[in-house]
Amino acid sequence: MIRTSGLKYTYLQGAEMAFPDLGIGQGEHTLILGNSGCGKTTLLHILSGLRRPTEGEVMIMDKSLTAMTVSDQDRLRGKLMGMIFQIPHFVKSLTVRENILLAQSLAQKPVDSDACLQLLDQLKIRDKAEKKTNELSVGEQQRVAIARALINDPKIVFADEPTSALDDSNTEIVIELLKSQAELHNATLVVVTHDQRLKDNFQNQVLL
Amino acid sequence: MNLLRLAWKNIIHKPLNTLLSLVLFGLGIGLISLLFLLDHQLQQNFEKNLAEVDLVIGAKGSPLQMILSSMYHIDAPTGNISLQEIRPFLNPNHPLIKEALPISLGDSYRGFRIVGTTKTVLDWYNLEVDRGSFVQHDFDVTIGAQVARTLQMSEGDRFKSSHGLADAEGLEHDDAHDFKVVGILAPSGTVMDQLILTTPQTYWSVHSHEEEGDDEHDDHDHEKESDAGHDDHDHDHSGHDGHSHNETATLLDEDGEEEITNVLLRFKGRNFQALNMQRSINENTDLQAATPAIEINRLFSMMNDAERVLRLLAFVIVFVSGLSIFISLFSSLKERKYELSIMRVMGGTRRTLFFLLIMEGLILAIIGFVLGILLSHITMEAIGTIMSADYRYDFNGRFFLKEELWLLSGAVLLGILASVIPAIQASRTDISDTLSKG
Repeated sequence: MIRTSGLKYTYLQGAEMAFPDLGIGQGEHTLILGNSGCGKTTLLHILSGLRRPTEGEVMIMDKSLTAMTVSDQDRLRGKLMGMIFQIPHFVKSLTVRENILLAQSLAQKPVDSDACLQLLDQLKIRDKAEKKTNELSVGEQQRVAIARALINDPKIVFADEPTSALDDSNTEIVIELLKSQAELHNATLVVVTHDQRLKDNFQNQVLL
Repeated sequence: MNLLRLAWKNIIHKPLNTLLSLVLFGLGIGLISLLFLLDHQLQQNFEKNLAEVDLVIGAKGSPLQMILSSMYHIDAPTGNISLQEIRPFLNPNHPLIKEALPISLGDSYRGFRIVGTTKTVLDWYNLEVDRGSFVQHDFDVTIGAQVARTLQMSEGDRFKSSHGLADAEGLEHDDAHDFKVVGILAPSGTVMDQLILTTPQTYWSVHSHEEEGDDEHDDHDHEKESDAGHDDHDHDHSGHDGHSHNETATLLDEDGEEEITNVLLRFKGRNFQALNMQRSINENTDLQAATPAIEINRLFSMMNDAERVLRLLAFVIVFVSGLSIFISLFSSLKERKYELSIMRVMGGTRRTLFFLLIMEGLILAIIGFVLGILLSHITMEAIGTIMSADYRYDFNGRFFLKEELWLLSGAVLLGILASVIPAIQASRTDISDTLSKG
């Protein structure tokens, strides 16, 4: 599903970062662990095509992501990937439901309000569907972000520090949701974090 | 959730910014469009009432005032002229003059001017008598369609006139003969809709009566100058003696001391001699002659200066409104960089973000344009209501000009211009940087 070779990234300040080669199979759940400042987020952005590596190659489903144009990367990401960030961001003028529908239309998939509500139901935030996202708690927002990442049945779900802003109980809930939803959608899950609480939840672990 | 809807939601998400941009844009567009409308209607109204009049003769004074009072019934007349002074111009055998139309002014009824004139007026203004007939005798009146509608008058109604052109109380010619409505004109869209027509001779009768009975009006010009000749007229004109006074030529038989206000002339051809006539009247007589087309052009060129200032002001407002759209979009980028990045994460491309911002600018511009057009047409309608009462002109806001289409393209262009820099900025957002900091 995801293979990388010889990835290197040079920051503007001149610091160079080399990443170990990865090979993550279809449906596998992988935890990439590392302390802050070790380039976890950079690696995740390279894997998802948000940033280009200085050297090396990323293969997604045997296609070279790094060789694509920016627009093609954007389209591929919309079609194949769902992403969750440490702090979830939403389009503020839209409601929870509209934010999720926006994910469908930006990925050029048919807009399906029923599927959206069903997913919100699974994540137990269906009653928040018509609320603006800033009216929700952080835990609820993170669940909306998960719903948005999963609505297009992605092949890969990337999560960047999805739990670091959450307390223990919410962490447990969110990570279980992520895993179960990824399984339900048969998606490959890649989580990068420094959060040691997640260590026991993943068998495949990569240390940066 | 297509881009257009998203752009719309983003706009209404910030109602105050949006309101400011829309109000400015609407004001600017509204002002420009209002100037177009006013200009167009003024020209139209002035042209409709030109009636191919080549020359206007009257008492000395401001030529523009004379034209406005005698042809457009806006201003006060410059004064009266005696028949003997203008007799040559009334002669049907004059070598240069095709036709002459006498105009007597000075009285009114409930704000509508009573004009002493002859049957020729029907021909000149393409008028048709809708009901009844045209004036036959003195004290007969044929009223314009608007007069009939406003005052609810019909044939057979009688009334007393007031001295002066405005509707002032206490100046009624109480002891004068009643006027009798004998006909109503079909609407013509000219100033004639707003007039009460009678014979020139009627004016003399009204005012000679007063001389006998009413000291208050001692200072009227006609009365001061009146003399022994009036006795005859009282006899002639109040008596309905059977001969009609609706032909211009009948004025030739009248006493030379009697007065009218203006003569409107149509020439046989606009040759050198005809053109010379104006100068020779102005230089060699106590009369004044003026060419309507020239005076009206002068009026328009004076108005143009005022209009230019207003138009400049309107363009400044439109420019500022464009700036306000630009600033509100541009300043929103900083707080929206996360959601713009997130849109890229969800599969939106740089182009998506670019067009989102352009659409937001366009929506503001188009709504602003619609507001402006509404504003200008409603204002025009209001002006029309006021103007038809005060100036006897028909203005309304229920028509559209092709200039307004140009204005629409201008608005669209401005909307795009105002949003293109924010749009480029949005499409260049470094999503990886933004998201790793957030």
